[in-house]
Amino acid sequence: MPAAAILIARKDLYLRFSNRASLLFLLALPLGLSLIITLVFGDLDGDGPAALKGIPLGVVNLDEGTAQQGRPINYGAGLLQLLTAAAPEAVAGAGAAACPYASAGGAVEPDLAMNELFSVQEVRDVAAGRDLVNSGELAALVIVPADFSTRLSPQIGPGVTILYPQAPASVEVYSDGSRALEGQVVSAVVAGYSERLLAGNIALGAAINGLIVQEPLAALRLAAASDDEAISAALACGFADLASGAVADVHQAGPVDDHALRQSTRVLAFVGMAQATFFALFAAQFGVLGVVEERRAGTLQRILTTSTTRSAFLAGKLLGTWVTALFQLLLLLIALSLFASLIEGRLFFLWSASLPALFAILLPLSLAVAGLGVVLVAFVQRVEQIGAIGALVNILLAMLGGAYGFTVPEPWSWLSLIYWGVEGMARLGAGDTAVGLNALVLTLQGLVLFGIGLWLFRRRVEV
Amino acid sequence: MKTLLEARGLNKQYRREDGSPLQALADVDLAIRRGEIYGLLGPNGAGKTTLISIISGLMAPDSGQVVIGGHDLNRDPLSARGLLGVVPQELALYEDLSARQNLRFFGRLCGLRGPELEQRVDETLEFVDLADRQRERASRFSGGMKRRLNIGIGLLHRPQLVYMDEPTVGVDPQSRRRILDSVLRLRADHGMTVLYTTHLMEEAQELSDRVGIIDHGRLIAEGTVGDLVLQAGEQDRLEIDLVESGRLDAALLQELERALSGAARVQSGGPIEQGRILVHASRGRQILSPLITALGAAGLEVRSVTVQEPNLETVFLQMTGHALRD
Repeated sequence: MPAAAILIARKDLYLRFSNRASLLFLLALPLGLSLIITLVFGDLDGDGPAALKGIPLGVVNLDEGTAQQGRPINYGAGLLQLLTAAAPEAVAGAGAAACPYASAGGAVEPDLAMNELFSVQEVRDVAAGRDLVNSGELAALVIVPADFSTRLSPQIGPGVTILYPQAPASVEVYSDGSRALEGQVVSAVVAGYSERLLAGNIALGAAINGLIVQEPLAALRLAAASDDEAISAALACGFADLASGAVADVHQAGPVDDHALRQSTRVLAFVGMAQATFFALFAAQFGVLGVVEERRAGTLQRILTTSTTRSAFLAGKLLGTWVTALFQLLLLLIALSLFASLIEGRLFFLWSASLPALFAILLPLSLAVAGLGVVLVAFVQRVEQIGAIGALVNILLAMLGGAYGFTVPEPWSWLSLIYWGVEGMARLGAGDTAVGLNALVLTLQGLVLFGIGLWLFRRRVEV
Repeated sequence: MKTLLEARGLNKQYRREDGSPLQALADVDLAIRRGEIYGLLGPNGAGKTTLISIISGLMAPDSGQVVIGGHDLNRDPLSARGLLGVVPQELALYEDLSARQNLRFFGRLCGLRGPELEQRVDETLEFVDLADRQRERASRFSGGMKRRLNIGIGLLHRPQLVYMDEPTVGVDPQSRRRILDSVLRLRADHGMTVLYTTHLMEEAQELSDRVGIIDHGRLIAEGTVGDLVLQAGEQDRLEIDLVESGRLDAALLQELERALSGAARVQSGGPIEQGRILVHASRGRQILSPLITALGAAGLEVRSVTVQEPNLETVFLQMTGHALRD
């Protein structure tokens, strides 16, 4: 990093943190936003927000199920069971208690009374369900496709090879636009269920446990031949559970963790992170607005008549914005964790108590956010333009990333840095620190966006 | 005297909103010598800003070359720009930083560090007469003080070539005088070369060793003020008011021209009965005495004489066909 870039970043940070208006934006808004999120989604009085109780929800379960080593599996039915369960009943993953995946999959378990949060109505026909949403009778409709279980489940193929599904599984949440909050809650729960099934490799675990029970020798051969970490871990877990007798029925309901979280805390975690990222996007744009302001004030031109290159100038802006976005994200997360601690009645870290894991997501996320700001600023000439164009881009990213309560099918959602940030934080919240891919994608997004911004900025004839 | 800045064959074309081309610069050659104060005159839209932007490295020409202190601006931009100090017309400083913080920031960007930086900052604050207000935010300064700080930032790293774009625009007479004096001191004390643009002819005349006149993207003339007057063929203008028009007529005017041995052109300054005579001569003051003698001999009594010598304003008008402020 050239010295000029660091100088420019330092100057920006000094100006930002010494200016009252900027400070208000930097400190008060994140705190205010976290308070609002808590008041809306939190459950400070212990009863949960009245508006979010008894959400009328329709479920069309078209899932035809699949079989693992002859055992019938239907994850769609599991989802329906989850949405209608009363605490502390749960839909267990494979080897729920002892398997390390269980901790990741544990969040599937409805430790709070889902039947209080949702008023579920099973609907047979998709069109009829959509009509019910359109008429306002239902807040949202969950449509589980026929091949949901199949797509989630790897199969044990000839020669004891693991055959992963070619296409990803997806559940559609059809919601009423005027009831965005309820739709968001439904999406959060459904997305959480699907993600846990995948992230926790529960489906893989189910397949392998079936293999262990029915063909233990084949399972041993697989254990010897496979160098896949997930398969090896699932096998180890399955054999351990076999020894303890826990592999008898992969779909048997079981007890949940004593320290189950309140539903409001879960919602707070999801919504809070999505909104924090969304907010950071605006914060980053506010940060790189400085480029436009410097251009207008003539200081940009003056800097560029020194020995400072355009790359160094833009790198300085990126660095300053990166630090600012990181600071704001941290502030929001700390505030939300404090509110979550109030809800839980104990010190509780919403996403992770592990600082390295947290920074593994926050650093690249704020870099990506700052990189996006650089691209925007390279496009626009006036401050007013950045407001309009920036808002448009942010909303688009929020839609793609699922921050508005509905999910966009992959791979479209992968385009949004919000998706990678929220997904990574969701993993951390579930105790899964395998967020390398999220960090990598976000870092790449940040660097590519900065590269594009720099290219545009250098091509500009006039500054 | 060695050349510090040399621009050769600079061309730059823009596209208007309707798509038609606009030649902002056309084959501009410019050479500024070390230690020289060079005044660049031109009305708005003449190509002055484009030329300066190219020389400052903010814009690339379509063709042509700029060399500063032997460094090609295109091939070795950082070395070339390191010799340059810029004082833009619009204030280019951070209002929320103090005078000292502004100077430190730009000084560091110019590569100054440690005690050298602090010493230069102190010297510059003294030079622009802001030492006693150095800890105050620039936003609390008067317009003149901000202008001086704006100048100080451009001079801090002691550049070999300082480009000053109309630095006296919008300042009170006292601050203006200070600024003009400081420009002269830059050369006297530090041997700096100054490229100075202005709309004010009297400033250009007072400061500049040489003046370049740019119009419609072309450098149409350059030289000392005296050279330019000669180039333009401008003469002194004598306006003589008589007590009575008396026997003033065309024949008498011809007689006066003969009496001055053809060194001047004599004509009536309006209707004959108004009693005003206009005389154009390259050495106006020298013919004044024989002219009054000739008028006395013709029985005409002089009430007043006004001598108007040519200046850059008239030269500019003569060369471009329009006034500088048009």
